[in-house]
Amino acid sequence: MAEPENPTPWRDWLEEHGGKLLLFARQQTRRAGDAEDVLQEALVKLAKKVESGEFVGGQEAWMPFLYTQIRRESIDLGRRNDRRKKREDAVVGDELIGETGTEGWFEGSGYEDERRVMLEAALKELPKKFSEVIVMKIWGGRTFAEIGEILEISMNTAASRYRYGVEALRKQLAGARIRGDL
Amino acid sequence: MDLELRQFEEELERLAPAGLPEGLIARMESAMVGWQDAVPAMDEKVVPFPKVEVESPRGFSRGFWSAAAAVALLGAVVALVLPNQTAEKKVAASEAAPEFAAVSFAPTNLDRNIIQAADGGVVFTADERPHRLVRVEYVDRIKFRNAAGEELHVEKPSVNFVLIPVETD
Repeated sequence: MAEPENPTPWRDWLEEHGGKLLLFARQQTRRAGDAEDVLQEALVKLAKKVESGEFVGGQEAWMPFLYTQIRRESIDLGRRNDRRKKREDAVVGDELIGETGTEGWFEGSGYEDERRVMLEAALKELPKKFSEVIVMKIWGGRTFAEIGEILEISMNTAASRYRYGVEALRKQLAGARIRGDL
Repeated sequence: MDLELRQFEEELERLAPAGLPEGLIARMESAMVGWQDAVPAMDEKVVPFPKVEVESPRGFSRGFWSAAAAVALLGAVVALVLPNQTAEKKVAASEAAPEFAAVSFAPTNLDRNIIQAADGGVVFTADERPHRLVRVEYVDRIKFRNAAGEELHVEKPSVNFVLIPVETD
């Protein structure tokens, strides 16, 4: 795809880190469109803070800030959606937006397709508080100390959620293999 | 972390998050550059469509009360007839009882032996709490004795799955 004529200073950074952030936003929200909106809100807040000189810390602090922000925006959005759904249900019945997000969370290359799909499904089935730690640790490269700070939990809690989450994920995939799904 | 888990972790690390498509990068980039123009997400107002009220009947109709009365009457008739039938069955059972009484065994001892317990990994219950699933194989050995002092030994193998809560917080 063609590069824009006047790339901004943000572009290179977005190309390098955008995928990790979008993955986290997808894990945090229920719909693909919501994930993009939440990511955009978080990035706008970062840009505002950086350009107005309010941001504390260097570029290495952007990712933890964005993870925290994406999570907050997702919680807010979830609450707004819940309130809106209640109002809509009360007014027009059970009509729902059926978008579930069909785009894959991961790159296809270097990984067996079927296994990738199963893994993505298994990750979505995990309770959120476990999968968010896995996403940040494995694909975001965050330490348990950073994850603890982002989620406002202790480092040990982050580590044990990670361990049990990974173990449950492995069990789910092993189950899929036994059932013949893989 | 055990070796198998470490290998699985390495497998996960080989997977890369899907990159942002060009259109999305452009959208994010332009939003970041134009942050002054960004409008914060507000709790949008939803103007309700007038709700179509489905008229529901108030109270119960005469038909409902007739049906209820019919059910009540049927119940009363059954209650009058059933006790006699039960009594007949009881008599029949007590007639046959003496044949069994002579050989009846009573349990005198129960031993439960665990043969094997295997870790089935971590599972999540409906309330999203992690539990360790343990498969326990055991054999119950039950000893019976009758009035003549004869013994009967019964072995009953069983498998149980036990959920043990694990602490994460």
